[in-house]
Amino acid sequence: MNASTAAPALRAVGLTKRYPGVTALDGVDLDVHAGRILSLSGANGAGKSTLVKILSGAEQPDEGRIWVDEQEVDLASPHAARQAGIYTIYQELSLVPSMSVVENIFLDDFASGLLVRRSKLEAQAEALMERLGVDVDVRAAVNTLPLAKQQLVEIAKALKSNPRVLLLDEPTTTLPPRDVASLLELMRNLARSGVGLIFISHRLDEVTEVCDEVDVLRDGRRVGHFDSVPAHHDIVKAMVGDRLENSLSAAVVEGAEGTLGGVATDEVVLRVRDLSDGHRLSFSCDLRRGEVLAVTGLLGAGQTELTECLFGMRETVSGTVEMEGRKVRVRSPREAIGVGLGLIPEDRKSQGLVLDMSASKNMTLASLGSFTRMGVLDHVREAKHSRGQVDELAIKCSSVNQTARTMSGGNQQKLLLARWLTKNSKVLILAEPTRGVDVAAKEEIYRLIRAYLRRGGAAVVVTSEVAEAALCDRVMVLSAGRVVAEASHEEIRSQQQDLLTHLR
Amino acid sequence: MSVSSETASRRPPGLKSSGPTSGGGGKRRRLRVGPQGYLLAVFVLVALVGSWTSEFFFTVRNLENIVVAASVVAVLGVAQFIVVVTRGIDLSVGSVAALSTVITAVLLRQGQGVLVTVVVALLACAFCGFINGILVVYARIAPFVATLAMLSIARGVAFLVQVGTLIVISNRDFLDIFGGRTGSVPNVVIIALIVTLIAAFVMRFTPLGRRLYALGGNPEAARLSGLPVKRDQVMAYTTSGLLAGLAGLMLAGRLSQGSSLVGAGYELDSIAATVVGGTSLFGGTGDPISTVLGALIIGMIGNIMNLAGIQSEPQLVIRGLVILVAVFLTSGGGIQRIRAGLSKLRRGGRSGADGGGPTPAPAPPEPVEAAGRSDLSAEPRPTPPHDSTEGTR
Repeated sequence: MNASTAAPALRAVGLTKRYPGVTALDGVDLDVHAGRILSLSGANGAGKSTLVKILSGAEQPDEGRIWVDEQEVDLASPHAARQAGIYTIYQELSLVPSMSVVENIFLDDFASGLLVRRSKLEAQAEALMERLGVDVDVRAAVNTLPLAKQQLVEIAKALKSNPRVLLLDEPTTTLPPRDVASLLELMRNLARSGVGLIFISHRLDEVTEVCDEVDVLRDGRRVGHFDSVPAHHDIVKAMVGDRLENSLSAAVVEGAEGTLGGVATDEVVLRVRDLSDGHRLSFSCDLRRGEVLAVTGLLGAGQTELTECLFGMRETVSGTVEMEGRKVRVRSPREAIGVGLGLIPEDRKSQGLVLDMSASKNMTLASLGSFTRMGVLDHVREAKHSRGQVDELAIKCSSVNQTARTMSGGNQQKLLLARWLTKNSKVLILAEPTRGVDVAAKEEIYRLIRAYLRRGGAAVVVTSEVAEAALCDRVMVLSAGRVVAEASHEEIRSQQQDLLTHLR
Repeated sequence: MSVSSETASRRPPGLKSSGPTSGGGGKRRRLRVGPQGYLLAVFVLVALVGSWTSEFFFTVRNLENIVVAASVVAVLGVAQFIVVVTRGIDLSVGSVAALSTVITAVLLRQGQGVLVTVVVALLACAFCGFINGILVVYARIAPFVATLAMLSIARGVAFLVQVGTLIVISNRDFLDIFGGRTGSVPNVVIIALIVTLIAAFVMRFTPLGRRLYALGGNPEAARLSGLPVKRDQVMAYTTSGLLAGLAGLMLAGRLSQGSSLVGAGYELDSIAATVVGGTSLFGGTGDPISTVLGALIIGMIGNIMNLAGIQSEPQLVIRGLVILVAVFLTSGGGIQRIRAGLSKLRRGGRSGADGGGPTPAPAPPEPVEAAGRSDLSAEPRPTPPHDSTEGTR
């Protein structure tokens, strides 16, 4: 009670941020109290990352005001945000790998001043690391330290400037469980020392373990505020909303029953045997028509390598691939597409779409040959086909000539799906298909995958969300490039905990 | 009846384009049409300045001078465009054109027929472009460096082949084709026009053109869509070399000589034409016709300064400045940026005035508001909980 009646360390009112075609934040209010840990929860695309960008000064809100200790601040740049006392630690650390711990901690200070007293800085750095309870050689280069310790260096760097508010954006995602526990402990200590913390994690058990308050975002709005730690179910309910309760998205967030597939036949479409890139990866699978197979694992467990090998983006040194019983060679994406594969890449902006091209052109990019007449593009037929896809997939756009850049994440994802539907691909590889799209679009994408399967397609979903994997007909868990566990959809429910232990 | 309904349905777009109406949609539409609109505006503006500078500007002879001089740059500009659209650059176009003039002169002096000469010269130049492409795609040398080397090599080879300063071309047939006229129109203009139209057609109506835009817009996406990106890239450089060779033939016809010294600086003119035409050096945008407009604008500027009797050194300075302005307006999104800057200034000024006012204190946030509040969990709705602060804004 005491903590929350005092003036908040950070208060934001009415934060609004619009991007072309989407309102990412819509009048969000936020209070962070000194000495308390606030969780910011929300499904992918709920507006968390936009809020983080605004609070860290990376982007400016269209509307809204922010106070730090009752002093209104203008977070015009990351530097200004730090000056104001808000320090953000991103999932991807911003350290210079080849420099030492000391140098990294005091990097900002090197911008001014001529001479550096190395011994003095080292003493300060050691004091900081001690405060964090870490034993580390401050003269060691950062890239020689394990990830968890690098993160602590980042936190030390933040503490050096005595921040009022520390924002931790998914700090636990890449950590093994032991380090997660100690990080949470450290967060509690920091809170006790009077810092206000904002913690973002999609693992609800971590949220309920460490946080004092929970704010839930959905579709760019704050839809729930809990002054004390609520039950998982309440958070999930706020995250997905009434409309999507009992939907697949809700199932994903909550880890409940739900299925994406269920129409698998016996006919094997894709058979992979001992596919290897010559390093860690070794993968085999049988994918049947109508089946959706999930491949999941911790970050860096080999999902990227697998996707790239399957789609011919990375050289494979051994192993065989059969499509519909015929042995095929896939040495380039072009060949992969030729044999009937399609890829919806993890990063649709940098790998999937030509952002400055129209929706229509993006949809037909892989099948230009079928839109020509005597070597000349038939714009009329192309436009007609594209309009058909827009209707069928319910793509929201002003016309098929709208540039892909100005469309929302979910709709961009649909453009890629349309590209492979246009190409009549037999097997789709979907890498993190719902990352960065809002809950409604997520539901829509699930619906489309389902429709694709029912039409006789087959899909490999490479995902880091275990609950999303659990929607599929079959789940394979990768670790260090190998399948360490496999479960059918019926087994997943009972074994989800086991799968999780394989993950961590 | 059906006719009238059709005209009625066609009217709205016409109305929209006729004037920027007050609606937000109208504004966005105008911005989107931007680059080409500004290019035309610059074109007209330069022409107006020309007519105002000298009464000779709008004479047939002067206009012909401009167009003839610009036609070589136009062809080189199209060559450059095809590479630039793929995110590349071709610094060797001027040298390759020089090589083309020398090969032509040498072969004609040896008594070869015009057809053989032209084919050999073009093939040799296409080969230079092909080498550029191989260096960029397979040796992974940055386009700037690879074509810079070719710039040096091609000019050196041209010098070695010509043995001496220059070779005069006296073959009448050749001079008739590349230096003559059809009717009253100089042939070089016709060639440039045909090249432009073919390039425009290819870029807009063929899969190759679409692939080149995709390749420049996002190479990774193009590759993952199964496009033959390597082949297309080599194709682009080869075409660039071929067109540079053609520009060389046009130069040889006009100057009646082959020399390793001609065409120096044309690589920069061709790049200038491309960027003034609104093509981004980051690839994926622009079109050949705009590039040719760019070449004409640059040609007009030079012509106007000649008419005004400006010395050649100040000319260089002015030309550079004009190119900067034109590029800022067409491809740099200049107008939008100026507008955004102005509105930011205005906003900054206003908030500054707020801060400096007599009552600067922002309403202190009501801290008690959130205390003991957990009702939202029961009924998730988007109501902002801080109603009172809402009023103070």
